[in-house]
Amino acid sequence: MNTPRPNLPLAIVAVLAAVSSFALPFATLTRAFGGQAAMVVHPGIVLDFTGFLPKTLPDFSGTTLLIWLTLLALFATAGLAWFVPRLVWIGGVATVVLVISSFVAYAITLDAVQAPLLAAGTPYRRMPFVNFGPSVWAFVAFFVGIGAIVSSLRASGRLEGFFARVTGAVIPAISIGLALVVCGVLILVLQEPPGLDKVAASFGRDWFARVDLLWFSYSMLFGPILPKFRPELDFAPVWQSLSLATPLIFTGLGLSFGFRTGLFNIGAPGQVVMGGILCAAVGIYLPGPWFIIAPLCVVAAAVGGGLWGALPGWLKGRFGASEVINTIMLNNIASGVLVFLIGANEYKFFGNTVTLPFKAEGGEAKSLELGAGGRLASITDPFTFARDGENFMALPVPFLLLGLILGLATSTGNVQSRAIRTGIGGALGLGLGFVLGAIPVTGAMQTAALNMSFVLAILAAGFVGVFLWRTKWGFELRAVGLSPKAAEYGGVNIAKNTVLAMAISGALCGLAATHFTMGGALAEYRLKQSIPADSVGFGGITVALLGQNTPAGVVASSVLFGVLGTGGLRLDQALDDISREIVTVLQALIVLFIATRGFLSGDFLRSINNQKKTKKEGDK
Amino acid sequence: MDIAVILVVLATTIRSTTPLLFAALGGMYSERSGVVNIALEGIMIFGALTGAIVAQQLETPILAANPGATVWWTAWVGVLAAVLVGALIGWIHAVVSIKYKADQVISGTAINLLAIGFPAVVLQFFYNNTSDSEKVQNTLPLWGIEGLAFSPLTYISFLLVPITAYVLFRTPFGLRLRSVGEAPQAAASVGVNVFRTRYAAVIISGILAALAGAFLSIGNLDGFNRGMSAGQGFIALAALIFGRYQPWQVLGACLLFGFFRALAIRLGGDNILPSALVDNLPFVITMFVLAGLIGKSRAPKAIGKPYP
Repeated sequence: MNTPRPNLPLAIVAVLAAVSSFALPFATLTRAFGGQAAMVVHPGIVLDFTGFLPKTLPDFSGTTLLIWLTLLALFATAGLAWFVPRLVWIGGVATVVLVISSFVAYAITLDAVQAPLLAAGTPYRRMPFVNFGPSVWAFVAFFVGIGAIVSSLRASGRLEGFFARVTGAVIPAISIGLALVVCGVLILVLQEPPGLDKVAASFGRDWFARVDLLWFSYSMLFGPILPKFRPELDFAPVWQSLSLATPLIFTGLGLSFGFRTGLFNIGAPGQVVMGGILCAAVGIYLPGPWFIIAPLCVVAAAVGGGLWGALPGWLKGRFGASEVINTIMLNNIASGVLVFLIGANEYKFFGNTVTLPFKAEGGEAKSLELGAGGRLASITDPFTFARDGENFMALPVPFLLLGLILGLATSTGNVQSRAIRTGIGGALGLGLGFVLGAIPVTGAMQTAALNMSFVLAILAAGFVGVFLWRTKWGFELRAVGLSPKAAEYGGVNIAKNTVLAMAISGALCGLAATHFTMGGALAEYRLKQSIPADSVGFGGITVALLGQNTPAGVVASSVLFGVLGTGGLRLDQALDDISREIVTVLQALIVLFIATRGFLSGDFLRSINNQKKTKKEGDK
Repeated sequence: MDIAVILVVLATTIRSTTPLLFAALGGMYSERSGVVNIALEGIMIFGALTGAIVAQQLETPILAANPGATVWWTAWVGVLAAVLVGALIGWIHAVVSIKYKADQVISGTAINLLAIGFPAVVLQFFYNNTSDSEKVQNTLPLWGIEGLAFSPLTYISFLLVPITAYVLFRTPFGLRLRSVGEAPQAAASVGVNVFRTRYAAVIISGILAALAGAFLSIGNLDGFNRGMSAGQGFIALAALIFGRYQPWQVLGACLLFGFFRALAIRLGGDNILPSALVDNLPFVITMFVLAGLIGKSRAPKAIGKPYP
């Protein structure tokens, strides 16, 4: 440790970050609906693509000064990385603090202009600096600062445990990054930057317009991870993201269950459809109170999907037929059955008219409506209370549950330490819930159709985790997945386990239908032909791969895709030439890049795996 | 039965067989070389999209000058472009599954997934909607006699059967291709380049699947719409298995499945059986075949296994 090696990469990155402050926008001043922006570039240059910025702009000299200081901190970081790598964290902390304070100074300047207007009763969308916010360079500086701190901590050996634990996320993270780069190129090719026609053409303007287009697209795509803060607090984007994530969690769990046991269940779309048919049939035709009918509907969905999965499992176990081809065939058969059931009320068989009651009257292909007993409540319902004529959702109980789940999911070791961890999680959740109190329930949150099937999905994730890693059957299934021959030699009945694995995998996929039929996610409590079985089913493959076939990973990547799906919708509305299907393209690219292991060399992957193993052995 | 009815069913059968035959023969090259290709469906969609957009964009300036103009070459350029795109997608599948030794089913799934999203993105750019291209006025010609006139691609697809039979079983390339699909190590030990052979096979398969797509969009119809492949890539896969990976038997399987399609169209009008059920026959039959209940289909030995 006497002769510290210079941290060359960090030094180069820090210098580049400093220089790029003149080529990347620091913050946006305002943003029109079509994506046109006015932005601030260091040192204090204002570029306007909106065409309606006020003539006199506030004085940004405070911000500019702080950015100059941030540049100084970045150069200091580079110098430290070269000469005294041990102390590089000082530069990192300085950079982070300075870049944050420069944005705070910027926000204060703009608020000073807007506050009197707001006080005078001007609606928020009429503000001169609507939707102002940080832009690319602010984030570049922030993350370089964080990177400096992390590299310093890592060099001192303090983060080894953390790094060993996240090695599993390396390939997914790189794949997401690569897919985002490709999508970025696609966006630049397809979409003329909005507002470019409003300014005199020059290389610089062109460059900034394109950089901002990318920034805008990505911030739109990832934006729904946060609630809307202006003009008023609204959790609709979060709700919609979780609603889109719900069916993906089910199918992702189903797919990863299959992968763990060495089976590729491409049959999720068919299993979703069959689950939906059985679930809807029970809900439509069985009268009764909700506490009997709703559970029966859920079981019916699982049975429908489970049978549709068990069939190819049996064909593989009994006849050795490939489950890949058979599940593909069954997908098409299921969609044919669906069309048959809800496409028409009357059919002619050899001239005889047969009437099917399942379909609702009218032109649209949809089933009859589920009875009140078969419907799932919205997730806000049990916690909603009214005050002053407005609805609010109380947070303590949901946060308590969330804390308990997160505590349990992240705990390791023996029962005692797990119980303590879970308890701490619950207590923290409860405390946070009381601090935050309640959130307003808006109409947009209700139409997002986030319902109790989300809770069911989380429970299913818990079930898969316990079943695969804590039971004898799960152990056998994983053994078959890792090495069928060795498992068979060890006395495992392969055929039986294949049927069981495919049945459970199919049942999990079938449960996704509860979100659509019982949860009303298709705008009505019916089975409709518009049920997105394909995108949910194939999306399950993506989230299973992205989540590395672990329940927690599946939940996290489903939420990510829920967020992207919601963001894609908003991007579609904002930009003329971009369709929301860009998110499907993103998914496909992620699968492709994960399949190539992120183009990482085998040596590198082995080295991080070894690191993981050494760490595990060190723990023992 | 009326002779006219038989003629109509025959013509519809041949038209419905064409895309299946292209895709199934394409699948044969790839799978015989040991690379699973469930991306046939996706490549078909890419081919259809490319053919329609290129043909439409090329004829637009000509039609702007003279609205009634007939040009013969735009559709053919569309076909050529589809072939190039098909080769490109095939190459991607090859790189991912041969060079990076990925799970071939996952790679194929990724391409199918790409084929769901990408057309919408491209259509939004060209036509401001996510489901249809604009009508192509100058599509591929029809050759033949009244009532039995088919697109040139139909003739090509049927000609490809003897050609494929010859290439696979009578040429050194075919021998190498089959050998790397059965026993790649053994093939390598006598000097066959396993990688290059598999690359060629998968790229050929992409080209043929794209031709199937081009037939759908500018041979059979006059434009692209998103539902147009309707699982025909998967039916082709089924025909490949049902036909036991043999060119002439695959032709038989494709004709049978094409006949089902024609029947479904015909029966839907005659109120004998609901077409939604007849459409599913190919899938049910294939499942029985896979289970060995109707004949036995044996896949190449090394299928799905990356070569080290």
